[in-house]
Amino acid sequence: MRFQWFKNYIYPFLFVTIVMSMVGCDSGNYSAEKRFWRASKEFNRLMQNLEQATPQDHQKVIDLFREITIRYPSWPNSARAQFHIAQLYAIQNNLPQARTELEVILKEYSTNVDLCATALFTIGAIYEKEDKWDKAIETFDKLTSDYTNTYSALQVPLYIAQHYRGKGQAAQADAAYTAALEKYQKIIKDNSKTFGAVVAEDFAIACYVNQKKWTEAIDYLDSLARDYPDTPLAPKSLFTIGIIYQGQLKEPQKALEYYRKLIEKYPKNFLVKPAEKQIELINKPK
Amino acid sequence: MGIISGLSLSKSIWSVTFKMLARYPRILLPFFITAFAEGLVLTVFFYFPRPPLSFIFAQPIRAFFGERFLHYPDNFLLLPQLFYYGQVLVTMTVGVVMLGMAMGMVYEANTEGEKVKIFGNFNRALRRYVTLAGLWLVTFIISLIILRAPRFLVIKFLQPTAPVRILLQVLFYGGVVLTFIIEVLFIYAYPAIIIERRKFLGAIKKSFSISKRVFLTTIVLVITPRILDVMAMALKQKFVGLMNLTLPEITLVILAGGIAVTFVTDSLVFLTTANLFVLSKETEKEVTT
Repeated sequence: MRFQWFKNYIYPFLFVTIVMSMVGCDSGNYSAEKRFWRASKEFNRLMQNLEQATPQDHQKVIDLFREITIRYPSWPNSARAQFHIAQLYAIQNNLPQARTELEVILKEYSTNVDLCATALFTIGAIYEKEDKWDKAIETFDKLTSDYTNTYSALQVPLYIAQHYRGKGQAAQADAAYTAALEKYQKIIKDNSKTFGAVVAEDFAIACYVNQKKWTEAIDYLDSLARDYPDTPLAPKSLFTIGIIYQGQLKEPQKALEYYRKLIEKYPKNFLVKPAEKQIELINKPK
Repeated sequence: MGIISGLSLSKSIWSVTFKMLARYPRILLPFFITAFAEGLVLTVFFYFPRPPLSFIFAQPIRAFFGERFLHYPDNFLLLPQLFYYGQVLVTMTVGVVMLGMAMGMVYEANTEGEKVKIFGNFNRALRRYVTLAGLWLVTFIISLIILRAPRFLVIKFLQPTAPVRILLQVLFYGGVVLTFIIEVLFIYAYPAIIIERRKFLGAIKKSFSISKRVFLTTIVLVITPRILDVMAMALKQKFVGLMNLTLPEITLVILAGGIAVTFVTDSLVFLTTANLFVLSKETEKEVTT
């Protein structure tokens, strides 16, 4: 009797456990994650040895990512797998194929706004590389109109200015930098408490840095620290002014003033530690 | 007891234990059941990010540890911690009963000859569950304090420099040795509870008295198999590095290997000391008669 009870319960239990262990009880997401991790590992390995990589190596990684997009089309990271496929074609200089793969993201994964914006930005960059600047501008315009608040869209004005600067077209570059700065300053003014403002501040700083307009940069950042003291823009502005005084204008005492102001006004900000390190560096006997 | 006689006694006890196991292999059943329960827990925790288990585990994992641990490969970073909690639960429930059952089986193998009962000893251990669990809990808490408290103090009051990291390693392994000594002091309480039907404090008192008498032999009987445990522990500490070198699934292999190692070491430690307990009981009897 005792053993009958044992058999009645233990055998079905053992059977279920063994079957579960063998087949796994998966909805698909976990397998997709596993495949994506393995493909990403291969991708990183390929990136580290890019010079020695053969077309077969590239194709192997493309196949790994492709399998994910086919097997798990509705998995949220499938769009990223598709993006990696495009990247791999771009690395091999197969730019038309890379563009085609990026267009798949726009069509198939339209709900993933950030990745669609990145894909569109990359399509623009590919056109630029192919010397089709008009097409690139067209793409960037589409990006800024369709995905206005994304990081990639914010990057566009600066990217255009950097393109002209790279081509040695000084007049267009100046005009583009002015337009970019106006745009970034407007974003900061209109949405000073958002993450977009912080990104716009970064891009605005990059505009000044590219043009080596140090005093203008300091004036603008000073105004940000003054006008938006309760936003993340202010501590960042103070720190950046310090860096400009210290690194570009060679005025360490002025830099100290701004670092100290940052520490005093925003003692809990993440920039306090880097500021303290800079103070230490300035005060270090040479 | 001198060193030579202490060592020779441990050798004899091992020989008696292996002979006993050859004659009554069913004495390993309690340890096998505990290992099986641990294996089951490990299986459950391995599958926790996937349905249907994720319906139960996703919420608490998300709340206590974070969303990322529900996804591959980060679930493997959490697996050892979850498995540790599972092991504690298994030992506190199934483990102590099985340990009591094994003590009873050893006694029967030594005294009653042919018949070593499974269900009889299971019932016997179940009836003494509270005392057995209490004893295990006491040793567990003491070990936990020894292993965690110095580490906690060092991390709280010292900067994480290279010498401090070495100190933490020294404290960890020193703590492990200390927990073995604690095990040596309390180990005879289990047979005392089952074989002599002693109460909680009486069993501890008896255990201290036997450990004091045959300290060296007990140390050898406990620490020799436990070296395997230390090796498994060292491997578990390096699991993140191994994960990066190989595959995240290596964590599962290490933990499953740990179950097998614990099965072997626990069987050896508890069966040999139970045999020594029975032997010292018989010696006591002879002295009194």
